[in-house]
Amino acid sequence: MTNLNSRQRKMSYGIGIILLLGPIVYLGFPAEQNAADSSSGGLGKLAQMRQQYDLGEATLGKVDPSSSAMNLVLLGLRGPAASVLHLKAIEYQEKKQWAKLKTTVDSIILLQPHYVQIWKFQGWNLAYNVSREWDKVDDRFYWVKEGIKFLKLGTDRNQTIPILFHNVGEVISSKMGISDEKKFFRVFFTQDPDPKFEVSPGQRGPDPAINEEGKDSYLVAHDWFVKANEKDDNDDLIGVKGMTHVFFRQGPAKSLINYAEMRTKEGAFGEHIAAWEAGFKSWMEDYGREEFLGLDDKVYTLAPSEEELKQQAERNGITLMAQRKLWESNVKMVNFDFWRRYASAEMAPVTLTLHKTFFDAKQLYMQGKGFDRLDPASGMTVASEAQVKLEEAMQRWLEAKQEFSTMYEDSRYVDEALLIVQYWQAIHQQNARPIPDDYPLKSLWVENSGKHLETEREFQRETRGRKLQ
Amino acid sequence: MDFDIRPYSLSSAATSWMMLVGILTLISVGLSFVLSLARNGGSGVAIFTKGLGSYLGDLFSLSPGRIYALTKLTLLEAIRRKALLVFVVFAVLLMFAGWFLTDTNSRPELQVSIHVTFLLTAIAWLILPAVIFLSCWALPEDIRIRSLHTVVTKPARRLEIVIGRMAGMGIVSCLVLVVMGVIGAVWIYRKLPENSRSQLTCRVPVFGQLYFFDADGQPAATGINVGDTWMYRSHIAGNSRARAVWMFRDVNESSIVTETIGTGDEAKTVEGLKLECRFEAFRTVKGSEKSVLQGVQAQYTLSSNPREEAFGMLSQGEALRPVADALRDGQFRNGSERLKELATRVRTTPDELRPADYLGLQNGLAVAGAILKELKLSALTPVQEKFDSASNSGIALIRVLQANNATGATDKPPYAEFAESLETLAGGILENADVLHESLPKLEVPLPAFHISEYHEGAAENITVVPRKLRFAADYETLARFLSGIFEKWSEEGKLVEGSAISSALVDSLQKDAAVSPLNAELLVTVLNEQLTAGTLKISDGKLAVADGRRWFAFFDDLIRKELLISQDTDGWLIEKDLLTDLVSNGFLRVEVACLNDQMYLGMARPDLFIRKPDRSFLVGYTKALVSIALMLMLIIVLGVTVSCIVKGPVALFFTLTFFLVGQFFHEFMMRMLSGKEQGMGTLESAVLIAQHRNPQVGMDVSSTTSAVLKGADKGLEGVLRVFSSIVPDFSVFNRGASFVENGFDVPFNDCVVPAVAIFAGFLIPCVLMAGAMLKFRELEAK
Repeated sequence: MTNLNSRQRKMSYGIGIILLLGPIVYLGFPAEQNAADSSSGGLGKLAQMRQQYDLGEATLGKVDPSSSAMNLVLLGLRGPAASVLHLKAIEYQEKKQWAKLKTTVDSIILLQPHYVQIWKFQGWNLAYNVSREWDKVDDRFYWVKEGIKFLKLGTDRNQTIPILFHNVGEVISSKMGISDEKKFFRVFFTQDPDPKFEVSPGQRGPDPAINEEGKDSYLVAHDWFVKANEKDDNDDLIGVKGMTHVFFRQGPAKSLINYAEMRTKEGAFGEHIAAWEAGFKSWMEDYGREEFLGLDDKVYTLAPSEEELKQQAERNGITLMAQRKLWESNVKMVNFDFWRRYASAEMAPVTLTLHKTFFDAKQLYMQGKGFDRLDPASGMTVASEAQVKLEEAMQRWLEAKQEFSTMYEDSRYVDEALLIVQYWQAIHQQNARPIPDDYPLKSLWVENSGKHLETEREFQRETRGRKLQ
Repeated sequence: MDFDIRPYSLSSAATSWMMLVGILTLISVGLSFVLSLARNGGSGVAIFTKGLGSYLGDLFSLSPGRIYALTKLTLLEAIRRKALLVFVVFAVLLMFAGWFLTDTNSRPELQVSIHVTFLLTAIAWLILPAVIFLSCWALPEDIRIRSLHTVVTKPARRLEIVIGRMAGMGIVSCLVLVVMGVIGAVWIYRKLPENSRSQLTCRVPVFGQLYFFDADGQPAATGINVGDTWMYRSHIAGNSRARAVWMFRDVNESSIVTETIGTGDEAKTVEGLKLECRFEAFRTVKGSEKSVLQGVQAQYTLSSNPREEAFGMLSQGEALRPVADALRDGQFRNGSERLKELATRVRTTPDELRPADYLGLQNGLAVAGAILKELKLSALTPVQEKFDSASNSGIALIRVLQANNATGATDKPPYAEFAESLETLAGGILENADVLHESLPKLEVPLPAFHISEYHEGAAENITVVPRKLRFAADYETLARFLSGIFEKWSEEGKLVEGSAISSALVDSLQKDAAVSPLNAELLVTVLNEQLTAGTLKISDGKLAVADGRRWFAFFDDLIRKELLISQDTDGWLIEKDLLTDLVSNGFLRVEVACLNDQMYLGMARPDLFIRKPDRSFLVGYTKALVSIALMLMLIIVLGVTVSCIVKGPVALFFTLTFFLVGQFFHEFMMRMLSGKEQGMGTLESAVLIAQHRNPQVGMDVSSTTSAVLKGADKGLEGVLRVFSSIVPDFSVFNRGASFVENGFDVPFNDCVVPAVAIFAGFLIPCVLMAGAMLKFRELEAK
C-alpha cells in the first residue's frame, strides 16, 4: 500500500501515461512516405520495418477492402471457412455448377489472398479442368480466359511472388500453343468469339483483360515471363519458390522460340528469319549469360566463353574440369544446346526455303492440284504442280541436311521429310501410278519404317477437308 | 439442376403420419399413466384421468380472442427483443454484395444464378438465427422473470399460450420475410446487368420418365457411365442403336405453345410443342473442326410404338431376345416360330433357362397381355387372352421354382404345361399375325438434328419447337399404313373408280386431299393401273378392291417390299401427321433421343429433357421459394417453442439447432445409411476399425464373440437412428424451391410446395398438443 492520496495517484497515472506515449508513438505511428524515392521515415519504427521487409499488406500487392472486410466479419474463423469453401468448390465442380464454383473460388481468395498455392491451383483448375468439361470450343476458351484472369488477379494481390507471373505466361503459352484446341485458341486470342468484343461489324477484337494490345499469344506470354524475371530480380533472393531457377528464367527466350516455330507452321515466312533471330539472340545472350546457382551453390552460366568458364571456376573455388562438368550437366538438363542448334538451323535461309517449299506444296495439294495435268503444248500427261513442289522440297531437305547434318537427325526434321514423302506417295496413288524405285528421300523413308503409321496419321489429319479436282 | 424431382404422394405421407402420430400418442399417454402410477400409487389413476380430462377440456374450449391477444403480445415482445435488427444486417449485406457478385464480364446465365442464389440464401440464413433464438428463449425467459405467471393467472389455457406464441413469432418472421423478399426482388432487378435481365424468368417444365436402349437396341434402366464420378447423368453412345427414351404424360392442347422462330424477315409464328434439353456432351475423340465449333449433334424422334410397349419387357434375358426382337419389329410370323422354339426348349431342356429367364418371360407375357387389353380392340382379344393364359401358367411354374429355391424341395415344376401354353400362344400369334401387324402400328417421326449447347440454360440451340402439323419422309411401314388408310376411306366413298377404270381425278385428289407430291401421286396411280391390268386389283360394285381379298395394308406392304413404290421425289414420301392426334396416345408422348456423332456420347438425366410450357414471371417462382422458406422458419418456431415448454433456453436452443442441422445437412446421409446405400460398417465397428488402423474390406481384428457383440450393438444404434430419422424433419425439402429458382425454373407446386406444407402441418399438430400438455403439467419455475 502506498501513502499517496487519490489526487497524487491520479497524477502519477497521468505522468505514466504520458511517458508511455513516447515509445508507443515511436513504434506504432504510421510511417511518413517520401514521394521521391518511396522510402519512409519519421516516426513509426514498426511501420518502417514493415515496409523495409515487405511485410505490410500494401507492400504485398493491391489491397482489396472486401477481403479485409470478409476476414474481419469471420471473427478469426477464416481457416475453417476457407476449408469449407474448398470442399464446396470441389462439390460444385463435380456437379457442374459453374456459377457457384466461380463465386466460391472468388470467396476463397478473398479469405486467403496471399496463399500462393490457391491462386496457382485454381487458376490451373479453371483453365484446364473446368474448360475441358465444356464441349464447344468458344465455351472452353471462355474458361481458359477465366483461369488466366484469375491468375492475373493473383499477381495484382501478390506482386512480390514471381512464380505467379510465370504461371500466367505458362498458361497462355501452353493453352494457346500446345492444347488440342490450339488452332482455335490462337485465333480467339486475337479475335475473341464473344460478340461484346466486336470492334466493328464483322470484325472481332481481343479480350483486353488478357490481351490488351491484340498481340500473338506467345508474345503476350513473353511479356509475362519478362515481368516474372523482373520480379525475380527484385526480390533479392537467389532462386524462386516453386520452380527450378534455371527453368524459370528461360521463359522469355523460350516463348520467342515457340513464337518463331508457330509462325513457321502457320506459313508466315516473311517474318521467319527475324523471329528466329530474335529467339536465338534471347536464348544465347539473355538466357545464356544469366548466372545460376548449381549444386552446392556453385555459380555457372549456360553459354560461357572459355575465359568466363575459368573465371567462374576461380570464383567457385573449384577446378576448371569440375566447372566444365557442372556446366555440361546443366546444359544437358535444360537442353540448351539443342535449342541453340535448332534456332541456328532455322535462322538459315536454306531451312526457310525448305519450309516454304513444303508449305506451298501442301497448299497446292489441299487445293486439289495433286492430279496429273495435260500439257496443252505436247498433249502429254505431266506431273501435277503439287508433285513438282514436293520433289523440290525433297531436294531442299537434302541441301539443308548437308549444312546442318546433326540437327537434321532430330525427329522434327526427319518427320518433316517423312511427311514430304507421304504426300508425294499419296499423289502417286491418287494418280494410279506406281511409286518409283528411286527418289531423293528413299533411304530415309526406308530407315524409318517404324514411323510410317504415325506419318500416315499426321497426313490424314492434315488433309481432312482437301478439295478434290 | 443437379437433382431429380421426387414425386410426392400426399396420401401415403398422410397415412405414415397418422400411424406415427398414433403410435407416439399411445406411447405418451401410456408413459404418463405409468409415471402417474409410479409417483402416486393407487391415486395415480384418478390423478391421471383428471389431468387427461382437464387437458381435453382445454383442447375443446380454445378461445380465438385469447389466442389473438397472446399473439399480439408475442408480436410486441419480439419487436421489443430487437428481432427487426435483422433488417439492418440485410441492408448492409445487399449494399456490399456488389463487391462480391457483379462481374460484367461474366456470362448472363451465370450472373442470374449467382444473384438469385445469394439473395435467397441471405434471406433464409439471416432470419434463421433470429427465429431460433426467439422461439427457444421466449418462454423460458418469461418463466424466469415470472411474466408468464401474470398470463397464466388469467383464464388463458396453456394451449392458448403455446398457440399464441407460435402464431406471434410466425407472424413476425413472415413479416420480416415479406419485407426482405420485396426489397430483394427490387435489388435483383436493379443489380443485374442489362444483358442478364432477360434471363430472369421462370421456365415451366413438364418432366417425363426416362429409360434407355443400349448400343444393341435392348432396353436398359440406365445408360453408360463414361467415368464421371458424379453419377447423376448416364450416357448414350453416338452413331449406334443406343437411345434415351422419354415418356411424357398428360400431353394435350394445353401443352401447345405459340412461338416466333427466326428474326427479322425470316421470323415466323409456329404453334407446337416446345422441347428444351440440357444434355451433356462427352467426346472420346476431338472430332471434326465443324463439330468442335458447333458441338455434338443430337436428334429427336417422336414415336408411337405400341409394339415396343407391349413386347419390350420380353427382352429381359438372352434366351428371350429372339422372340422379343421379332415381335418388337412387327415380324409376328417370325416371332411365332421363335416362340415355338422356346417352347420346345422349355419342354425338352428346361434347365438351360435360368429362373430369372422364366421370371422375365412371365413378366413380359403379363405386360403384353395388359397392354393389348388396354388397346381395347376386339380383334386382339383372342391373342390377348392367350398371352394372359401363358402368363398364368408361368406364374404357377415360378411359384414352384421359388418354393424349391427357398425350402430346398425338389418338386417338379410344370414345364410341360408352360411349354404347351407357349405353343398355344405361338399358334395364336401366327393366326393373328396380320391383325397384330395392322393393330399395332409403329409411327416414327424423326426431327431435324441439332447441335447441343452444353451448360447454357435456355439457349436457343437447346430449344426445339415441334410443330403441331409434322411433315416428314415416311418409312415403309408408315407409308403402307398411310396409303391403306386413304384407300380404305376413298374406296368406301367410291372416289377411286370411274366406270371400269381407276378414276382420272385420282392424281389430283392425292395431291390436294392427301398432300402427296405430284411425282409420287403419278407413280402411285401408274402402279395401281398396272396392278389392275395384272389382275391383282379388281373393280366390283363400283369399288376398287384387292382381288384376293387381302386388306389394303397388306397390299401396299407387298408393293413396297417389291420396291414398286420407290419415291420419285428426292425428299421421299412426305406425309403429314398431327402431333396430338397421331403421335400422342392416351396423353403419352414418346421422345427418343439419339447422338449422331461417332465416338461421342450424350449424357442425360430425367430432368434434362422437358416440355416447356409458357414461361411464368420470375416473381412467381421467387414467391413460391419464399413460401418454402417461410414454412421452414415456422417449423423451427414450432419446434423451438415446443422444446422450450419443458427445458430451459440454452437446452432448447441446442436441441432445436441439432434438429435443424441434422435435418438440413445430414438427413439424406441418414436415409442412405439406413437403406444400406451408404458403404461402410456401423458406428462401433467403424470406431474399432479406426483404432486398429484397418479398413472395412479387411475387417476388425477381434474375436468372433466381440464382433457379434459389436454388430448387435450397432444394430441397436441403427434402430435408434431409424426412430430418430422418423422424427427429425427433412429440412432440405424447404430448399428445393430455391434450387429451382436459381436454375431458372418455376417451383412445381405438387412436388415442392405441397411437401413443405405437409411437413410443416405434420409437425404443427402434434407439437402444439405436446407443448400444451407439457406447459400445463409442469411447474412454472426456472430451476
